[in-house]
Amino acid sequence: MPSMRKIMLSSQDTAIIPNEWYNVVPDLPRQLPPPVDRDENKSSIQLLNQILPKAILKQEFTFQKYTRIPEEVQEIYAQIGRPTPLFRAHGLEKALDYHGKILVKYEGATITGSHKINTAIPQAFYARDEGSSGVVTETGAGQWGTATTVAASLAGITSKVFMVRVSFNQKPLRKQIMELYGGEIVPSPSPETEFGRRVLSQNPDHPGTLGIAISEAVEYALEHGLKYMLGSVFNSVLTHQSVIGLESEKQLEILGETPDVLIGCVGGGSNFGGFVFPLMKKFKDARIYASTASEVPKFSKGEYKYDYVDTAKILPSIKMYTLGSDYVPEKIYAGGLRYHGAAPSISMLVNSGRINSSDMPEDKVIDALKVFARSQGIVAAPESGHAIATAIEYARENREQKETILVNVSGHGLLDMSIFQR
Amino acid sequence: MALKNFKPDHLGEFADILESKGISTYALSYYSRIGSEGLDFVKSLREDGFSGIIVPDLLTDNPEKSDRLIPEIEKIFRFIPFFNPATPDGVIHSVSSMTSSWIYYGLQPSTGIDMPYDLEEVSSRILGLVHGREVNFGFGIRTIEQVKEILGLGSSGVAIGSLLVQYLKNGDLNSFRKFQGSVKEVYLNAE
Repeated sequence: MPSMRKIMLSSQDTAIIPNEWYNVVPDLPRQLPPPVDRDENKSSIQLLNQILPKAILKQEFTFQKYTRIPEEVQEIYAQIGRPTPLFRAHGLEKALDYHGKILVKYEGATITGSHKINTAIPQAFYARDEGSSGVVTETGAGQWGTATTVAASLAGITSKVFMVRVSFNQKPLRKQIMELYGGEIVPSPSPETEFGRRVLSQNPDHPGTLGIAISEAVEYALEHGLKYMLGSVFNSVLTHQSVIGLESEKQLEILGETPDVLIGCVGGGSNFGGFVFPLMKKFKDARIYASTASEVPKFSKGEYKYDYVDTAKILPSIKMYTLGSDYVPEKIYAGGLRYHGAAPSISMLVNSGRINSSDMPEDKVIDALKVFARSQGIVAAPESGHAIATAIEYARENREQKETILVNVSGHGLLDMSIFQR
Repeated sequence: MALKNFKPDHLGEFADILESKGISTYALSYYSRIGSEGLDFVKSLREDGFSGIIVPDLLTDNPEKSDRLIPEIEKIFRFIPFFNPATPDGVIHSVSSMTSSWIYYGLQPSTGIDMPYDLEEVSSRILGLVHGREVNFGFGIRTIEQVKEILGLGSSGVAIGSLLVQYLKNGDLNSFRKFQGSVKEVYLNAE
């Protein structure tokens, strides 16, 4: 039996929780192209001033590598399950007959079952501290919406979530959980916003997209004087998510491990960036793989160019890999990966070749989730299944290499069981 | 200055006059002009009396060109590095080492955007990274109080664009002159 010390299934040591977030922007090899306005008659960048807390805006454009995590947020991080476990996946190694090591950082262990809570907490608390009575956001698979509703409740403010209609219909449990946490959940496109009404007038059965839901949430926040919560893509969100990588760094040190390969899944890129960036700084030779859905092949078939963050083109244009802001992806099993673009910092590093990308089709992802569940006992989220599938493929192709693979499993899939019935 | 209004001969006339009075003039041009005309464009600016050039989109949109282009420009006249809070430390170090001129530092990531920032943090960062180099601040300077604060924190000067352009657009030359005079007064007092 392997030594328990070397497995580290969990750790209650709150000293592992970082007291600063890490911002990759000052350490990038090139300068990030700034967000731009493409409409001469209105400033979508100035719009951010109206809908985001000032603290978030400052973090969005800061040059500081490290930002102090407010003490209240650090305490809540401990309350919601941080540090999350980093463990050696002996079961998976055995199932694959892999001669190296597979380590897993498991964000599914937070109270909401995913990494999303890491940024929801500070954003809700900053909104409250700046006098806002409530927050508004969008959600695809429901993980971000869940995190938002919990964070708002913990901060003592209201929350409203525009949920992509296809997920709203497929995942009634997600809606119920968000309502249990005190949120108001609306399927998007909805009749509650001008943009939603316009989309519905063209197609009453529109399945919705994350881009449409973002547009509705921003419009609603503006009209009702509420703060908008950023779920992914933006620098500040990746900065908050750096708790994943910073914790992993300390846990690897405790385990005495050095990763050769880092793997995560990419929707907008927040769990991936938060996991990879702090580790990339320390483990400079590590090979990095960003796993995406074959149905949303943003890196392999998208273009690296300026594009809108949202379908309604309310938010600024940013330079990223994109399939087009009006791209309507298939109704795939992993709603969190249906976004048309990816964070600018990740896009830049994919473009430069520092980060490799890997498209994973549904059948491989489902198989990987089954292998992981049967070998490790963990039902991972469909989004995380892409990272696991990429890790399994890498391990199978490099069985004899004896490398150490570290994969970030961004959430659990206990509310996504319907994907196994397809 | 918007490319559509750029008249090199006309501007060159003023640059020539200013140079004869010992005042240096710097051209601000987007990369597309250099991309299409090459170094001939840069040489024509030098012949017109300009002392250097600022290319604000070089490091963001054409970073792969900078290592070759900056030394070429430096052989003709000054290349003025343009940095802002989004410029990585490594890029500031490498571009600074290729040049010897003053540095233009944007307080905001883009002109005309009012984003919250801590001026003391911003100025100490760049002054610390390019120790000893002359740094002039711009992008988002709107008031005389800001000018006073910026000069008090160790900046060598300020660049004011959008505000003065707005005065010109409105035909408000009095406000233009008044602001210009106030800046000069603050600058002289700071010295």
